[in-house]
Parts: sequence; structure tokens; C-alpha cells
Amino acid sequence: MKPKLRTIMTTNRHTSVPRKAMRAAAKAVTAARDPETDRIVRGLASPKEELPETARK
Amino acid sequence: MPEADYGRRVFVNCPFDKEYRHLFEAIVFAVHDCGYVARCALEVDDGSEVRIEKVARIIGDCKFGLHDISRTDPDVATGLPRFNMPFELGVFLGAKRFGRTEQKQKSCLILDVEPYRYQKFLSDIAGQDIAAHGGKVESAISRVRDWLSNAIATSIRLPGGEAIAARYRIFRRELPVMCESYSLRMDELTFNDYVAQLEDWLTQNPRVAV
Repeated sequence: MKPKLRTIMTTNRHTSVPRKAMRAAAKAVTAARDPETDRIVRGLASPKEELPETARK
Repeated sequence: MPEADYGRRVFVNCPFDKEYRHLFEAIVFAVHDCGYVARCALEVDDGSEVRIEKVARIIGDCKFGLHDISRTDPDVATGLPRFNMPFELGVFLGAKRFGRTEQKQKSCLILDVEPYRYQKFLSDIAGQDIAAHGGKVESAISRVRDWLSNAIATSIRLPGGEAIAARYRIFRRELPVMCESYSLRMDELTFNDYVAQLEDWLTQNPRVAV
């Protein structure tokens, strides 16, 4: 039996960019991603990499 | 899409300055990747609402509260420490102590840089478990994940802190590209923009159950 995963919640927020553009942007980066990275995102592979400079301290 | 209810909302009480931003954004990512919704005072920009009213309203809406009390240094501009985080932690604990049934279910995670440092500046909460993040993104993500996992049914699998951090690294790498597509710089994203983009990215990239 497959384990159950947690449902991701979404909210209606007042954004400065149309939500449609954000969804399209998320779709575009997902489509442009290489297969190995995509496997990591889906939880099918384990990575060993550093955080980009903008995200670390 | 499901709308988050009281039991899925997390009040995030952290510094909002530039120095803390990398931790703040990682914490918000971890909250959402665990299936919860982050709320904070930045979500409403209504000058007509008194700040404490706004904070109290959001605290009342959230079962969970994440409080980072690590910012004890004096403000560079004023030379004085900021007390907003400990104050809002107090409001949260007060709601849990004196509130009605739903409020009594509140659960909180208190974060600091080191495990026992808080005893020197906030001894009233001595005896409560404080988690240390050491100022590191990966550590903060793991602390948030471990805390929220206690509230999830055991039949549901929550990924480990390392797996969430791995997804966060990729999200961070792709965020500037997403921002560029609608002509914004990353530092121009409002809290609501960041969360909305994060939600859409997570929805577009669900984990595969294996």
C-alpha cells in the first residue's frame, strides 16, 4: 500500500502579480528542469548540493 | 483547492529584516511543504488597522505558532533591542492559557540560535523546550519539520528535513527565473507574492508516493 502524503494547501492572497502569471511561471520552470533535478523535487532521488549564495548565511 | 482551517495555520513570529530573510523564507517554505499555511503580520498592509489588533487576530486564527527569539542584538539605527518577538510570543501563550477550547489546543515552537541562551534574557519561559537553529537554513527547516510532524497522523508520511531542504534549494534556484517572467526582482516580492509563488510551485511539483 502506498503511503499517504500531506496535501499542499493553497490560499487566496492579495498579490502584486496576477496569480495566473505565477502559475504559468511555476509551470515553465518545471518544464525546463533537467530529469535528475526533477527526480529530487519529486522525492525520488537524494541530492548532495550546496544552497545558492542568495539562500544561505 | 482546500482552504486552510485553524489546525493547519502557523503564525510565524520572526524578524523581518534583510539579515534574517534567508531563514524566514526557508521556514515559510518548510511550513508549506509540510502541508500547513504560514501567516504573519506582513500579509496585511492596511494602515487603518492597529498593528496589535492585526497580530492578535492572526494569532487567534492559528493553532500553531513559530517564534524566533534569536534577535537580541540592539538595532543598528536606534541602538536599542527590539521586543516585538518576545511580546508576540507572550500574546500567543496568553491566548493558549486564557482562551477558549480551540485556543487551548495551541502549540508552539520557540527558536533561538543556541539551546540555552534564552535563559539569560527570557527566564520566564525556562522549562519550555527551545529548539536551536544555529542561524542555518537546513537546521531551521529540520526543526520546523520535526515540530509539525508531531501534529500529523502517523498514516501520513512527511518527508525528512533533508528532503525538504533539497526541494527548497531547487525552489530558490528557480525563484529568480519565475520572478523574471513577470518582471520582478526577488527582493521586490511581498510576503503574499512569495507565499503565492511558493504554493503554486509546490502544487506544480507534488511529491510522488513510493
